[in-house]
Amino acid sequence: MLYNDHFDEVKERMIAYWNREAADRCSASLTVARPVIKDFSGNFYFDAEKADQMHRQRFESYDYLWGAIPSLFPYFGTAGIAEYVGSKPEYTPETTWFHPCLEEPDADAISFKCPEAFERQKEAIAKMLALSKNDYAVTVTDNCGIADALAIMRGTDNFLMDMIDEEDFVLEAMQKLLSIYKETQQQLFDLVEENNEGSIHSWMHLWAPKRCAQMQCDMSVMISPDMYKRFIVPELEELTSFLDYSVYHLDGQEQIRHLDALLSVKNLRAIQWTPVAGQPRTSAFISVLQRIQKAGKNLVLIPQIDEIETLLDNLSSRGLHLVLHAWSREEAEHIMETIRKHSKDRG
Amino acid sequence: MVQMTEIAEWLQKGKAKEVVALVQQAVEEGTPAEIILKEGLMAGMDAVGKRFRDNEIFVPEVLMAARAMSKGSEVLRPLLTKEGGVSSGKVCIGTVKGDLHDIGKNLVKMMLEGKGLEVIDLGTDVPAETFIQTAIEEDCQIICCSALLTTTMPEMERVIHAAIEAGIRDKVKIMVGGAPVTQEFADSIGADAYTDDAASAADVAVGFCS
Repeated sequence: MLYNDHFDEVKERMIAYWNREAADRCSASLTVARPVIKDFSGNFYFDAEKADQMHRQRFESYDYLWGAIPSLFPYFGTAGIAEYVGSKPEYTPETTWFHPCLEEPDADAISFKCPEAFERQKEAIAKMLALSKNDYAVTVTDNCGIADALAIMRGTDNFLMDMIDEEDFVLEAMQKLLSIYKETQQQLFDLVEENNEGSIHSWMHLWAPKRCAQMQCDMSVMISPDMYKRFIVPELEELTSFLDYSVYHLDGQEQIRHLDALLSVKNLRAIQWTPVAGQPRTSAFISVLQRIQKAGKNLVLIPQIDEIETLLDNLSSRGLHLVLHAWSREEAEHIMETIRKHSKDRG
Repeated sequence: MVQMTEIAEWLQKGKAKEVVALVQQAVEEGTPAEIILKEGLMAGMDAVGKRFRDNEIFVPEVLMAARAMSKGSEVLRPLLTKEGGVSSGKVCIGTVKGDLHDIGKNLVKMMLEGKGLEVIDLGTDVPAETFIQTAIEEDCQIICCSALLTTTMPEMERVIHAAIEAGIRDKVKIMVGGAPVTQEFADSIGADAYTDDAASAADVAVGFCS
């Protein structure tokens, strides 16, 4: 990779991370701002040339130290699988969303009816890969969240009531979406495998030798632990069997009520804790993070710099991955020194 | 004779069909519509709001109850209009410009309606001018602004500025809410109220209208 000259080391570290091996320090990605930051703002969606241009500007604005991976993340909308089954997307300069497409709770109406939407995405990714010339990574798109996709299709209010009124529909519909996800996601993994030398999760800076992807359930903040167990855990069990390296995107303190259920998912490899705006910072949840480690799951954390020491003093460096950014070389040196000094294998 | 507690209990269970049947029966038995609304439907929604606030129930159960409330209210609406209604205030509510999230906003709307307030739902991605124009045209006492994104929170301040510019700031209360919104933020932009859950928002709104 042009923008990362130590990718073999990155892979080696990540293998140790996934295998929960003891190491001299925790896994960490560290992007460091260069003195001149070029403009790489805006959305590119299907415009591969614009994506390439923007990302080269971006990669030239930062140094990619330790586990940091320069990667282009093709974004066509969160829970993008909804488009493959009929939800119409809206692309604006700022964001993307989908319109509901399923008026009635009818699982028979769900099928892979818009293959052209998927093909369009594949073509765009293929073009991005070609333009990257392997100078940087191009990852799979954001298709995670089966229940989230169904919520998009039905409209969230309707879907939440379906979970009480139409249980059979919800379970059958999720099974159908899971099949479509696996079929399409496999094709995407195949498409990027050579470029990724395996599989890469872009913003978490994770590499894995085989299929690695994030799972999530944003709408779980609205449901009870019982509902989570009934509808979401089966989804996660199936996804973790499909993915070789699965990471659950735990989004905010309201989702802690589902943690026991989440930790019961045997094949789940890692949990990524998200500090949500308006909520306490990552280091305020040490006991939750310790529970996750104790349950044998890896952690991905995105802390602020002044939290690193506290986190490392309380968590095991084994199976811990930090995603970090420094605004200067001096700050980066300070971060690396802190990590070296405070990393400790606590089993 | 239908007991109002019976209506309230079925409403809490989210059983719209049963609620409608009981409301219909109560009307036929001669119970005044206002009594059915206040002591049956609104009492049920009050209990739902409390249980939601206490994390005993979650959004799906609230939605089911709100749907039952709405269906029950439909039976009463013609009678309430005849009797003069019970609405004690008018609110316009929406998710601010650039933000398409609506669950929180919908929950607050339901809780407000459960308290007997008249609610004008402006939907999502609502420009500041629309909030103000609606408040003026519909003579609303309260504007409720919702945001789920840190990037759209500044729009709430624009609504407040627009209210000042339109000369209605002293006539309308502005309430703000949403996951990233805090009391500190609400204070910093000069909002009249912030609450961290839908049921509390409805309580505050009733206080403003009384």
